Amino acid sequence: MDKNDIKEWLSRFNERIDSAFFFSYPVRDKELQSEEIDSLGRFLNELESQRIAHHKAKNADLANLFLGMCCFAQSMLDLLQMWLDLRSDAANEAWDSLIGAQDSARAAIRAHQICANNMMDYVEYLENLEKILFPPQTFVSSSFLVKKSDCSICNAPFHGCDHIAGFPYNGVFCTEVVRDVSEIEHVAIVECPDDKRCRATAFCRNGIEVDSFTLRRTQIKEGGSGSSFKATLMSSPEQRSDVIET
Amino acid sequence: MSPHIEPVDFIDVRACIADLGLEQPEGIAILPSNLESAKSDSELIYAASAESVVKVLRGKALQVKALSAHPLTTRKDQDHTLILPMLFFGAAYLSQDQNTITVALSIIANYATQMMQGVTGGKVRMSVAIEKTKSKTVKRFDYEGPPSGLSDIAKQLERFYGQE
Repeated sequence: MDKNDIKEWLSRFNERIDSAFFFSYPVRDKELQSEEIDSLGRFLNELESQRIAHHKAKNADLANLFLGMCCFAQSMLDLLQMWLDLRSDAANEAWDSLIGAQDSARAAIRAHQICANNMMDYVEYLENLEKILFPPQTFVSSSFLVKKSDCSICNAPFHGCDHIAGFPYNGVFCTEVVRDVSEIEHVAIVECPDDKRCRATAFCRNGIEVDSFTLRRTQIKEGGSGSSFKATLMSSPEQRSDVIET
Repeated sequence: MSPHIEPVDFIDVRACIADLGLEQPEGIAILPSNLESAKSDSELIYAASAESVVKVLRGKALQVKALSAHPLTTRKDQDHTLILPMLFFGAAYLSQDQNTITVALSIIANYATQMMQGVTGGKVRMSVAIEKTKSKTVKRFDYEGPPSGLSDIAKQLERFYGQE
């Protein structure tokens, strides 16, 4: 791929992102937002094909650049989905969509310097949306001991290779794949969690359970007493944007 | 303004290592978080980023090793703060090159900065233990703050080592 091809891809990418932003308001028509999601999804598939092609050709820098663009496009998709979720009164789904958008944005920044140079304002925008659209959350963090893990890039035992978790390698992020958890030590309430999907989803008092976002009653337990809360302790790998299969 | 950290007395690292029947470190050592209380090597627990920090330092040709054989048992927290493993700099190693502290902390600062790109207000937490040449006592320095602060405190640590 020569410099003109890269310029053209970047130009197309910027146009698509601008278009997605254009629809990223709660007042936009739902059908139009859905169409924009579909259109951006098709573009993401094109970016993904390029990422895979450069990965196979071992063009590491280009593979990482397309990885970054994939992550950014995914972030925009999640952002648009958040608006639809909110309008469908699906508050928990909307939160997960926003957190997905934040995770993907940070992943894009780690993927390539071009993304890092251009995305900090967008990251700040997503953080502001969190504060404006959702009430403060009670986050939880679980602590566990890992005895064995493997590298997602080379499948070697994680200590036995040079790959560093969180870094991009030829269009793929390295992750430490946990194979053996020996002990779950504790669960704690924290102010700043690594994964904001891990949070109290419902509070229960004297047998009445309410959703932490909507405050709607979700369950009534006859004879219940005391206070407690339900929480998500761990999100699934599919929800994490830094796990991308080759 | 550069962060300022004060040394605190730390355990007799070499005695603990000997009690566990482990090899004394020759270069930079990655210490577990429970060196003082562990009764055996199998009980030692390291920070989640310990394996990555070993790789990062070795990648820049620094002599670094954890006390235990790999794979290390690591504690995975899901806190936003990047918890880095405790580093131990032995007196004999530092006498060969006092700049090692600055080099090592700069490398780790770069790693932490890369890991925390896009994280607003991202913090790291790290302790560094330094063995004094004459007294062989060990002092520990604790830091929590932005990754860039690690490079700033390196000079303080080198000055401490230079005082006898």
